[in-house]
Amino acid sequence: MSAIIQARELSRWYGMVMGLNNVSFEVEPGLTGLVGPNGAGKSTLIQIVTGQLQPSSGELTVFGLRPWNNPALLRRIGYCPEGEAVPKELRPMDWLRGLAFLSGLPKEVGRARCEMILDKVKLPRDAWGKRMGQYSKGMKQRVKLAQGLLHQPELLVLDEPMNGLDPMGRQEMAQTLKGLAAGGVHILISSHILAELEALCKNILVLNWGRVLASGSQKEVRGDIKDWSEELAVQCDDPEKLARHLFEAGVLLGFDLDGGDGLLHIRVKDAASFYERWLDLLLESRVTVQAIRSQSRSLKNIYDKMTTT
Amino acid sequence: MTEMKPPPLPPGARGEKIAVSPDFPGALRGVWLLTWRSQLSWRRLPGRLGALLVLPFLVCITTQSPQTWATRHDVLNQVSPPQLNRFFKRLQDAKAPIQSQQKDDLAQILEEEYATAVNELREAQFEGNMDLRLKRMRAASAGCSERILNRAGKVLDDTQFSKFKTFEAVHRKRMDDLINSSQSAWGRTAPFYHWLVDVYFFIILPLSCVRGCGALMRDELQADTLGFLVTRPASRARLLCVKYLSQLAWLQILLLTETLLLFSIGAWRQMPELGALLPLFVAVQLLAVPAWSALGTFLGQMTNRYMAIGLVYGAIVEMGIGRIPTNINVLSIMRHLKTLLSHNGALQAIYDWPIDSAWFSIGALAIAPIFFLGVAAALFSFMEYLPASEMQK
Repeated sequence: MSAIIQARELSRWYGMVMGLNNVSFEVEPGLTGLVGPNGAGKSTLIQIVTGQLQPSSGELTVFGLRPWNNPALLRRIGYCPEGEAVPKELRPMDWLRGLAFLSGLPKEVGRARCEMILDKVKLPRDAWGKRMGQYSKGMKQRVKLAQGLLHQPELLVLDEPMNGLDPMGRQEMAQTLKGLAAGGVHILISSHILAELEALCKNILVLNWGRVLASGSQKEVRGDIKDWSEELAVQCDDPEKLARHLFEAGVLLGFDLDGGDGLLHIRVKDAASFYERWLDLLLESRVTVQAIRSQSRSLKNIYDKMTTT
Repeated sequence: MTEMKPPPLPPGARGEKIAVSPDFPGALRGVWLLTWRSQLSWRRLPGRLGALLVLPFLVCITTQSPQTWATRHDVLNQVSPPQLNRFFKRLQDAKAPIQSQQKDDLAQILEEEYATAVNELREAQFEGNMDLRLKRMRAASAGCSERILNRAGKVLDDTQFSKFKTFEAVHRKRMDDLINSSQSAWGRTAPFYHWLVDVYFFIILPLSCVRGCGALMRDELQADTLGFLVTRPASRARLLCVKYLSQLAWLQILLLTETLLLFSIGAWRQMPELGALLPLFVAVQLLAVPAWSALGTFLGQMTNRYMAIGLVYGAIVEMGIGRIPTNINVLSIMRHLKTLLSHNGALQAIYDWPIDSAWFSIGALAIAPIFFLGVAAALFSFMEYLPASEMQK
């Protein structure tokens, strides 16, 4: 399946301030995470994708169409903005029904759909009668997600949707998004909670200072990073013996022994050749390994690596 | 016993694919729902009612009923006992002293004739036609003076009567001046029409419309909620038009309520010719609100300081260009509103506005919203409006 979002030499300035700087990338179908620090250009990119901003130069297309003032395309896109802004005086059903009319849903269909969506995002029914000004952050996030899903979009764009949610709420939100993705909805999601993006998204797009540092599947992005020093935590019966053996084999950059709990932290320079030799080295050492875990290939480490180099 | 089947769920209720067909009436219905639901909440209701009642309250405390007016502006109460005593002293100085019996007779004549005239003048206050009312009041004043002189001539001697004629002439002139100044142009009705036309129709109504419609998108930007609207499957021009129409309907309801409240106060205060004025006033207001609202929408799209620019526009175009006695004054909305209102006799008598073609003014007031809204829609279609959070970065 071809890319759903394509950017070619896309730039966006705010006066003298650069929002996006000549970026080109493609976003594949499915769940894609948008990663970057504040000011990286995530919100700018999302606003261009959802037709709220125009590119200063270059081009961005969604499903092959330019988003600005394009109702035919906006019919296929749902948007959930960052922040807590919702109309404070309105009740969720009134707000969603108004937006449903605006989205082209007939009256009865709109009402049924609003109820179904509010149930789907797990907004408690006893909160439906309250004005949204009285809502917690988490409840506002759920209503915002609901309005984005009203017209059954093919692409759902979410700007920091996990903000304000408690761990249970994040888990539910992640499940909801996974369910939508399984149902064929493409999702572009920005979040600073990288661990959750890592678990949720197959693809990532890393932005910093208005530039795209990497894009593609998490595996591809990891592979793109040169001179990667791999960090591993190894749980074994004799950490000292294993450390000595690996050191003598010349594959270690360094190691730390973690007290008496049998945990050995090691750093290797050439990850590829280390993994080729790893089983042989383990057999030679005669140490029994209970668990091994990569510490450096988390999305957070990839992100830290990319944004600090 | 037959089993009742539940009604079938509408499409989309179970999440199956539904056909979406955004159209103008649907968009209008949606935005109207959002508009009135957010404006008419219990929390906002006291504020709204208070705002609606401020002007009627001011009108109420600054206008008077005919009875109160007649009491406070009783022209024949001008001859008080101290004045009479001063007149008696002047007679004594002129060596024509007045006897106590003459004093009593003269005081009785004045008291009886004043009482008759006061009744005549109070009746004249209820005359609807201003010219006729003035004529009747002058006649009452003249009749009173004539009757007093006729009866006083029989009580006083020639010297005393000669002095009394001068005394009465001075008072008669003072009465006539009072009647003319109080009745010819404004009189009792002045404060009411001042509030209704000058303050409400030409200040509060335009400012309310410019404020209400200038904020159409600006308030959404400030609240960071514009993104929810512009990402709907509707063109930006359509979105602006339905927002304008919804806000316009809301303003018409609010301002019609205010107008009816003001006319109710006027009717309670027995202002003359209100029945004839009300239909014309409401009709002109129905034309004025879309024009001012469209101007506000246009200014709101241009700048976030739309109220300041609106005041500058008012000073230059409405107060300046609108008063130039050449064809260029057709640019003024107020000028067309005055043309239409001048077809009411009472307002025309008070304001003396130039009477031009009503049809031309109606046409101009119909074209103004289309023009301003068209430019505003074009601006909104091509210009970007950055959310508040973005502008702070």
